[in-house]
Amino acid sequence: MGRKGLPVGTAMVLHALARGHRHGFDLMEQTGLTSGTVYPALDRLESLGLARSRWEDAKVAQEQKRPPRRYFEITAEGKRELIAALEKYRALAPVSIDGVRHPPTEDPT
Amino acid sequence: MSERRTSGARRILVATAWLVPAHRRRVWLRQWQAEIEHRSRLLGASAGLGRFTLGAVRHAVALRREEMTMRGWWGEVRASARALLRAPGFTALTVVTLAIGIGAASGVFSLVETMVLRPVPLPGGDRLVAVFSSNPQRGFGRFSVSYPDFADFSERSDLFETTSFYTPRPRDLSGDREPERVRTVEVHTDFFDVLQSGFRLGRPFDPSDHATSASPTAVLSEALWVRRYGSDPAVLGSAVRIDGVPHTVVGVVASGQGWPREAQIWVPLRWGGVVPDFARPRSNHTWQVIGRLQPEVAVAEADAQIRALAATIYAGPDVDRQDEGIVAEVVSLQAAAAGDDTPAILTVMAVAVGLVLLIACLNASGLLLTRAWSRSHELALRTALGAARIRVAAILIGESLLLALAGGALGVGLALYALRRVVSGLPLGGPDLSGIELNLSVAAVALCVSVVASLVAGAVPAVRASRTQVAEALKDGSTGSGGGPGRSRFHRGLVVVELSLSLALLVSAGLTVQGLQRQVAVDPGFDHEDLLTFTVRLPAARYPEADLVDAYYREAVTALERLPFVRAATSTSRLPLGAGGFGLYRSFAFDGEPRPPEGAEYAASWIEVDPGYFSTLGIEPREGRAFTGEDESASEPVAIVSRSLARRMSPDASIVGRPITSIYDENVPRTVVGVFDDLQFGGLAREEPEATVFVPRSQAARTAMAFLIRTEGDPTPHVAEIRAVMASLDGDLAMDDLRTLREAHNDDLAGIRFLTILFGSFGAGALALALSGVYGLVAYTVSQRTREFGVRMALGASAAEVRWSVVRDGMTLALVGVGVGTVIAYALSRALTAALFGIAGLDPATFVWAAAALVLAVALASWGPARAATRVDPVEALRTE
Repeated sequence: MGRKGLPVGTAMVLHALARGHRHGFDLMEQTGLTSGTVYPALDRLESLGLARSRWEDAKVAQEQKRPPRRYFEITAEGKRELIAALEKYRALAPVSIDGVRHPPTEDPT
Repeated sequence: MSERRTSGARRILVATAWLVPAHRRRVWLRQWQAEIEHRSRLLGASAGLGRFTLGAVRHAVALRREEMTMRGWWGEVRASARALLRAPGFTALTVVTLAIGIGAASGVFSLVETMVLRPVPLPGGDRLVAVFSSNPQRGFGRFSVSYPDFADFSERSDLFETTSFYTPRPRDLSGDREPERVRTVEVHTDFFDVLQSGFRLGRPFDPSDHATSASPTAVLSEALWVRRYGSDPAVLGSAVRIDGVPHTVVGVVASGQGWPREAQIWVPLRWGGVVPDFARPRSNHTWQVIGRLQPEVAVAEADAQIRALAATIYAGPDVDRQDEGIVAEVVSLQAAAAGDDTPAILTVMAVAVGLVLLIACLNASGLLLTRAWSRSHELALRTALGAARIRVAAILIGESLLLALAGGALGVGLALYALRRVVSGLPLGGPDLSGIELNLSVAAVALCVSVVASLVAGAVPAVRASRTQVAEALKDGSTGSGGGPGRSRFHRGLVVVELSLSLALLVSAGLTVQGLQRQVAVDPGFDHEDLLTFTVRLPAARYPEADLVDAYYREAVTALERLPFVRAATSTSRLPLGAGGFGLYRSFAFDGEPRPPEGAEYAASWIEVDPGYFSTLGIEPREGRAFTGEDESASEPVAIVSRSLARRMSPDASIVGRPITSIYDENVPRTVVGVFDDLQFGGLAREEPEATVFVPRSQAARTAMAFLIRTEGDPTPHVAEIRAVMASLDGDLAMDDLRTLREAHNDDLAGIRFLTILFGSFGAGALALALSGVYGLVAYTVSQRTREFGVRMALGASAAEVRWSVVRDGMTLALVGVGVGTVIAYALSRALTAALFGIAGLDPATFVWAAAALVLAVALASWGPARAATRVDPVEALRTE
């Protein structure tokens, strides 16, 4: 999959991970993707070695009287893959549709 | 409100968890529980929770898909195997069920194939044919061909490359060691040219062996050469004594290359091109004709041509009245080997075993259906959630295939074991079975049948599942239940068919048991302990005169009676209790009275005996007297009749003193001098005692007789002395079938005993299968009706009432099964009666017993689930829904 590039949804999740969001639910909020997309994408990223997961410290969870959550981090490999993906998307020249330029301005990030 | 929503979401998680591959399930579940908890704390139980939770399901489906893609078909198989192992009871039951069916079917059909269908292993064996006469008009099956017919058929060189004929004649082989009776075949010229048999040693006969002046030659079978001569090559060229006449051995036919299959010695007919007088009439149907077809001629074509030829011949003027309607037919040699008289046992066995396979398949289908239906919720959910339909079908079909294969492997193992260990002991005639092997194509067919049955059973719910919509599946409730009336009716149908087929097998078992019992329990009419028997054949060449024959038997009896341990000795043409000898049936009428119309004569068994016969058996006349030494060839022809015949021929007055005649053959008036009680002669019990006419041996001069020797105590230790006496009279005569009368009687019962065991075990197996079917169905129904029972008990129904409603359910099945089964059993027992001598069919008592046994067994099988039904706690039952 790495060779063919990541699907957009997965790339978005990876992108959000790189920005420091670590839990599935936060990632949903950030990406606007559904739970049915985000969680499988996380598994896929992990199995590709682009992300790794850890369980939250049980003590912390216990203090807050909730089950420990699983959180994810981007790996070095994931960073490289993300850069490649971003390069690919950046290579798409801005396009004017119905007289409106897309994207409207250069993305500051 | 919020609590309820989250708990609903958690329940969906738990319900979906099975979808996740096992090794990822725990992580998946913990993760989603945490996320849902987190989300509801953050957002409260907002309306989006359902959608969010649906994500968990999609996640689960994605994981499952990934798993399936990764592991491929082998992984699929392993997953199916694991699923099956998680239900060990179901799996074991199904595998054993299928194994019984497949094992029995492939074993028995292999046996049939070896005995009946295997082509003759000769070069160009498919071109080898046999030609038979038959007379369908008169109800005569295949018989031999006359010499003129043979000559006419052989002229059709457009059909046959070569033809020849033979006739089997038992002979006594003697010389270097103890004489024995051997299956000898007298063959015409070109016999081995037709067969092109392979020779282990030496050569086939050449034309010079058939010359009138030729010195006698013989060809041995390899089996005989190995057994009797220890594979000694020096036998070739040496002389063996056949009926006391030295024959030079010119060849040994390789094993399996001879014809007929059971032949041990071949000797040439030495006609030297001159057809002897006795062979000239067209009415003398004596010869077994074989031929090798021209390469381009099909058997069917030759058959049509020869039939047409025979029709022309027998429409001609010079044909005897009794030969009108004779038909000729050409059949392949392997079909001829199977014969008109293909052991009826095999046919009946094949039917019985086919029924067992059918029951096994039905039962396996029932088991699979129950399993699939109890999982229909799961399957529907899988489909609804996007698992490809083909995947769902693959899971079910994979399980079915695995079960069928496991059952097949076990069944083939059972069949192999049975064939190697059991079959060689069966009382079946025909070809040598020592080398019998499992027929793989037969096993494959049986396996295919069971695979198809399993697939059908697997496919029904698969199709249903793929049609079911998610809403429907979830509407069914969370218990995974939901037996519609349709599936129940189908399942009940299966069980009813199983029950009816087992009834049919039980009835057959009952009939054979009855036949056996009647046989064992029968009063032979005399003391049948301490009697030794054997048969002797005097060759016509050395005993051409009736006087010589008579002298031999007189001397033999005298010499035997001189032995200190012999209380009495006698000779007879036929032994009682089916112990052997030479049966002959004739038609009788009173001499001097108008001949009765054909069919209205008195038929009776014709038995030639020595004067000492009755005293050896220890029986006294009812009327008149026994034979004495005065009844000899020169004196007045006399006869003794059995009581049943006397009663039939002369119900009002004594038959003693009246002359009777065997009207179609001997045609000599014989004065009845005595009446004896009926003895048990027939192998298998008849409804009525067998009518018998005894005549003095010396007035009939038959050359082949059986001896009957009564000894002080067990005769077995004295066999050597008896042999010595017989050898001193004529050292070239074989004492065939040497055994005690009791042993002979037991051997005679071996056939029916075998059938009894066969049908008994098939019946028991079928019943066991059908009962497991009943049990499964009733238990399944009970599990489906848990709520109903709960409600009923909550409303005050007693445990007994609930139990009864379950048992009644089973009873309904049993009664319908008995109804249908009676029809099948009727047909089967008719066939059994027709195929097997002497078993009285259609015995109402057997039907009633079998049906009662079935109903009782079904009641017992329903009892377990019925008790389970009453143990339902009403509150619990209501809560499950």
